[in-house]
Amino acid sequence: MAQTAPKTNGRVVVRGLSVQRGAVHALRGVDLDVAPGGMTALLGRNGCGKSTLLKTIARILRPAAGTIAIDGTPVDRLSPRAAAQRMALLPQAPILPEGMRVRDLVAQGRHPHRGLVRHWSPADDAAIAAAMQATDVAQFADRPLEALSGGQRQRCWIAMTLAQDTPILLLDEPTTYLDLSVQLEIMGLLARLAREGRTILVVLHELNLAAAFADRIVMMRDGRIDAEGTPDAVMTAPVLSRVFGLDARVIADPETGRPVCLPRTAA
Amino acid sequence: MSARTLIWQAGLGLLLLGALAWHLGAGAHSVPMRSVLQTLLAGGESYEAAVIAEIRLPRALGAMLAGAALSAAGALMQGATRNPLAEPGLFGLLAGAALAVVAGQSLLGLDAPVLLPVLAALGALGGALMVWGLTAAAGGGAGMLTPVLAGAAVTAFLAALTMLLNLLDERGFEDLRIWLSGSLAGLRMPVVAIVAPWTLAGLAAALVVAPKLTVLSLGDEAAHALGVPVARIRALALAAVVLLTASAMALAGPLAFVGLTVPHAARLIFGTGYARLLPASVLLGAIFLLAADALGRTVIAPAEVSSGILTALVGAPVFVLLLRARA
Repeated sequence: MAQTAPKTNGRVVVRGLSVQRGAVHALRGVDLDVAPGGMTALLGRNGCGKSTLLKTIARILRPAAGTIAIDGTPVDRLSPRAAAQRMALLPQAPILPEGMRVRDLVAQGRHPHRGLVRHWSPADDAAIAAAMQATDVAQFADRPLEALSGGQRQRCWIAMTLAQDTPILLLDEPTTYLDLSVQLEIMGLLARLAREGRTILVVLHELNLAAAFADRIVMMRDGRIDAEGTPDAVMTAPVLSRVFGLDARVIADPETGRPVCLPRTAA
Repeated sequence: MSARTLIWQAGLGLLLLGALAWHLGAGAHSVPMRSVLQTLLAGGESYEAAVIAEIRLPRALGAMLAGAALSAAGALMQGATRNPLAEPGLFGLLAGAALAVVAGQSLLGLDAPVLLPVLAALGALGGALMVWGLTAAAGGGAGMLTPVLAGAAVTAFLAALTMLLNLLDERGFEDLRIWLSGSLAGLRMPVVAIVAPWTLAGLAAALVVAPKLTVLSLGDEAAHALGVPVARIRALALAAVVLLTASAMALAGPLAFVGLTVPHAARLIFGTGYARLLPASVLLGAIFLLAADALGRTVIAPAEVSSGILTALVGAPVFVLLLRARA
């Protein structure tokens, strides 16, 4: 439940992480500390390893070397269920099951909390209701997913991960293919969840979206972390040039003070 | 569980009893319902009592078990592969099982009834692996029709081998000809008793896997993140499918399209969640095959239409409808 997510859990510590994908070294010795609570954005060019890092933390990919620990416990020692009680993942392209209603999708988030003997409980119902309320999808509860817009659907998927009731939330490009106003709405929702105490690690494509909403930014290049820190510290012209090959000015948003990247377009 | 679901389940339960009563009463020699009930409850020495106890009861039990088994197998395959066209017939399992049974009997002389489900299971597994291999060879972009095409090729190839074996062993062919058309004719209680544990084991495994299949329908990555051991669940589903297909084959021979028709009909009523869909498919499958077999025995009585012919007549249009719905 959004209101009761513990603030003291959800520390992710990555040490010396290397991942091989086919013949490619997708990650080359990554060290990363994610403190409990707050939103960390992973940025970088396509193929820099940001999605690989997220998927390896989520145990979908196996590391060739290195360790990942959640609150001191190595993730490879956790059972699939125990891992799913600590972190939830919204994949980049989840499959939309035909005819599934919103409530039934959100209910899937309760799977790691159920066993062969432990069946449906009031706690499950409460978690589902809270998740749907936090994402403002309760009014769609009985509609099939395919009847909703892209942004509404994405909020339903986020509701499913919230129903999982984990301290850590991993999201792989949750704003891709959405209209700008919907991207802002989704990021605003994630920022609120982070303020409420969840540890959110999100892969993003859009620099300014990350700068506007994230508490920390991790810039990746060629399977390594190139720069990391607050948006102010990381969103600088030299870093953008190195990481993205971008000739850009960085100015402060006149209202929020957050950095904004303006690529030079004049010839 | 909603009231609507309960009403549907009660309705299906009543329908099953009705289909069973029809099945026991109908046939070349029509038995009135009163005599059916009397025989079932009190036994008897009459001709009618003998017909029911010796011939029709084993056949009715066989129809229920085979219908339930194939429907559950189809639902499991659709969930595990996320392919709505998956079912034992279209994916080569029935052809594999048929060849294994014919080869075992004609080449190795393995005609003891106890060995029937064993041979069928080995053949079903072989057929499934061949189709899986062909689909994998077709590359990662394989759509939902690729395994169906692979299944058609494998089925044609294995059926040709089965025909070849039949040509070499004409005497055995007569016995197997009716079985190969998918028929419950001549099924006796000892065979039902041998096969029933296979069906029940398969159904038990299917019910355990069912809730995980709903999670699997969100994609492998999402399922993994929700704590489902994806590879282990697929392996368990395959094991259940093999047990179920083998038991249906041992009872009735290859019955096409049951595994496709019944789960999709159940989806219309019970929605997409496998925890509800699987038990519903089991009930609906038992009803479907009881009705098909009773119909087959009455339409041109005293001759019979094999159940396999009737299930294919119903199932092929369902296949076309499913394709059109997704075109």
